[in-house]
Amino acid sequence: MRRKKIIFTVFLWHVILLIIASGAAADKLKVVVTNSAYASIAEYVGGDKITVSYIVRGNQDPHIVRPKPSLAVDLAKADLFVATGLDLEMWAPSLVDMSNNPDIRSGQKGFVSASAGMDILEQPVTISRAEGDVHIYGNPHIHTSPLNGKTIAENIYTGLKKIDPANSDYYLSNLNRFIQEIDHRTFGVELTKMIGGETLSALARRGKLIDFLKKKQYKNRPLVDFLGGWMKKALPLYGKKVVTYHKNWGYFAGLFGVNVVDYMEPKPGIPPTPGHIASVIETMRNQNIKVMLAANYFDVGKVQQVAKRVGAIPVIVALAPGGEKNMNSFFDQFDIWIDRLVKAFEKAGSDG
Amino acid sequence: MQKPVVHPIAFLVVIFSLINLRAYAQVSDKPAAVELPADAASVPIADGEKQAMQERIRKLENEVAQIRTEKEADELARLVAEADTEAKAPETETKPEERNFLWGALALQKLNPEISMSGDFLGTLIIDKKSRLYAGADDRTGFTLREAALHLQHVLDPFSMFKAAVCFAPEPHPSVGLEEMYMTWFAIIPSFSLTVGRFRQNFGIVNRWHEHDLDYVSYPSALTLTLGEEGITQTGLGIKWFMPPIFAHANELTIELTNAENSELFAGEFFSIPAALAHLKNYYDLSESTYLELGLSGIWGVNNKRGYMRDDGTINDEAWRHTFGGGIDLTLQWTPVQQAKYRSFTWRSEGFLIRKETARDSESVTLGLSESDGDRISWGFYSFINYQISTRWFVGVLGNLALPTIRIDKSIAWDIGPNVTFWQSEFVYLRLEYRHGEKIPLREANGDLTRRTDDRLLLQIDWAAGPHKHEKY
Repeated sequence: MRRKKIIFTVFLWHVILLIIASGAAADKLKVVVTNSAYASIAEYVGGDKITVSYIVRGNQDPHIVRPKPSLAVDLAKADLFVATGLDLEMWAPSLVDMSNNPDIRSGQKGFVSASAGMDILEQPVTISRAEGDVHIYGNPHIHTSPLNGKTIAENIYTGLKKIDPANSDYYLSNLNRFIQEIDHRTFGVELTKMIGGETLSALARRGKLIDFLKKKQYKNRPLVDFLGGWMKKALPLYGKKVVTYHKNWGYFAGLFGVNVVDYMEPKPGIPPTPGHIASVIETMRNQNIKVMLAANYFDVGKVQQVAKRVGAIPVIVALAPGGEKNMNSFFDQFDIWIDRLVKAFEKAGSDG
Repeated sequence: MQKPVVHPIAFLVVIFSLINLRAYAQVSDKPAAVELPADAASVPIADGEKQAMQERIRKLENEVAQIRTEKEADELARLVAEADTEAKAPETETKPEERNFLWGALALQKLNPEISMSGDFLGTLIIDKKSRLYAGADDRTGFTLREAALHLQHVLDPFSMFKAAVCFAPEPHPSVGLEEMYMTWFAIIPSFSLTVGRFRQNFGIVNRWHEHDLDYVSYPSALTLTLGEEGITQTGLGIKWFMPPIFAHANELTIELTNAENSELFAGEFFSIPAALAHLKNYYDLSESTYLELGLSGIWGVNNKRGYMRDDGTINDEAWRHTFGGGIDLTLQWTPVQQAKYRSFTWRSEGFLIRKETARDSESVTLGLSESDGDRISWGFYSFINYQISTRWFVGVLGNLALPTIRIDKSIAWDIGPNVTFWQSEFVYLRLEYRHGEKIPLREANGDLTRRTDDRLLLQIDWAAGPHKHEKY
């Protein structure tokens, strides 16, 4: 009898603990995002008021995701769903349909388009499938620029504020910290304090930052001497030519002044043909291009093969956090991309 | 008391130096140092005078620092202003007289549904010696534009959407058919959706898919011989419950109530009461790259013909005859996360079992289309494996086994078909399939039943124009 009582008491405690644990989890808002980079930003803005899960892993092609029912289970419980909002995640509407969660549909307060308010690059003038798997709204790989990270964070903040207005001050303070950290990490603390993150970002978005900083002086020193952060680390990349696999790097290249001369894909989404590879090799030889850049979910072997033939250095990286060792956050991805590229150019010993 | 003696020259030298220092500080960022002429050091200075001078120097230094700070602040403000100007996008101005006023209400095409068109071309080469026994549009060597389909879809309002597939079949029997047309309320209550209209039903997996979405040339014969040539597509309503995962990583229950208009299973156009269908989907993530889906289906309806006038003017009123059906489906899918573009493996199998109560004196028996055996059991089973060998190339093999629902004897039909598919892009594919098997017997003119083997080579070319791709979900 006594033994039964003990067992019953232990069982009861377990049930109580489970209820408490589930209650504690339920207190937090559930945010589901498509991309692991958005997850990193959402975690920063939402802090301890939210739990975040993501669908596309950092080493996964965001175009090709099987809309598995288990992903829909996650969405069914979501308070907020963050997607790029363009035509990248064409599988996502099926998942939302499957989840039967009316609050996260397009236009509802539980849906956030991460790209809202952003200057989208490479918007096609004429939309034709003759151009391959063309994105009709422009390049959707928005998370490859730290400055876009600020807009993504602002959009996530807006979404959180809508569904949880009581904690909006908390989210706003996190957003401001995030923006400041991005500015400091992008331009360095000193220059950000001098010119202001907003102005620097605007100059950088227009591709005028480096020229401006080189042209202007302060305290009898070129302003560029005050530059820090990723922009300073990436100065050796400015104007350098690379070949990439896909149009993943448009925003990154635009910000850091990298000149993407050609792509392994003849058209977006169309696999490399032997004829096109021959043309890429010729371009690389003619223009002395010594560095190739590709996300690690592409055919790495093919990139290495081409690099070997022209004596170039292949830089294979994850496209988003979690996609490789030590790339655990939105900030890490820029550290790794820039480090690898700078080292590759140093090793190549060429101005490309 | 003796007055402190200050040498006038030393005093002048110090003042002159300080004036120089200030002027120098205004043009230089370098810290200015006070340098006295060599002979000034030798001039004796009283302590009080020295202190006063030091005080003045400090004041002047502070003044200089302040001037420098102000100057730097001015310089910075000027730089910020310049940066702001540079950062601003050039404004494009349009003169008022250049403005062209357009009325948006006259160009609302942006509100049109998404429109897509798909085409399905088939080339057939019959390579069987008994080709004289082949008959019908699909059963001869030649080319067919099997189907052209118009796909429409649109979000109707914040609560619902619609989809439609209109099929045009050209030669040899031109026709237009409404394959599907339904609207769905996404969440009438959380986790539930409601669909009304005509739709391909959730009996198993591939019955739900359009033919151009399949991984092989046509619907598996296991399905068509038991459920009907086009599978089960009927008009009615369906409720889908995306259940909280209870005994899997995802569970989904579908209940559909439709007209029993499928002529193989039910009464066809003479249906009298609706048919009911249930499908339970159980989904398991086995690993990051692999999942298993196990589904169970059940369907019930009646197949007696009631309430229509015969040629002799009498009302037909047959007794109730039921049709029961069950199905099991299993899918194992492997898609390595990092290589999703290049590698995948699918194994899918489905089994169907149908029990149809038939009349011994039924019309079909008279026509020789069916044996009269009271309860007729039919079944079908197929298994398919597909492997992606590169971005564009897939190889697969499909095997079918069936005891048909509409039959003239109890012989079992079977076939096996290896295929290779080349995806030119997401919108175009070419498929070569070889099929070998044994079809249901054919009744010859003399009344004999002749068993038929089936050997054919098929070339399928499919394309989709517009936003509708070849999707399997």
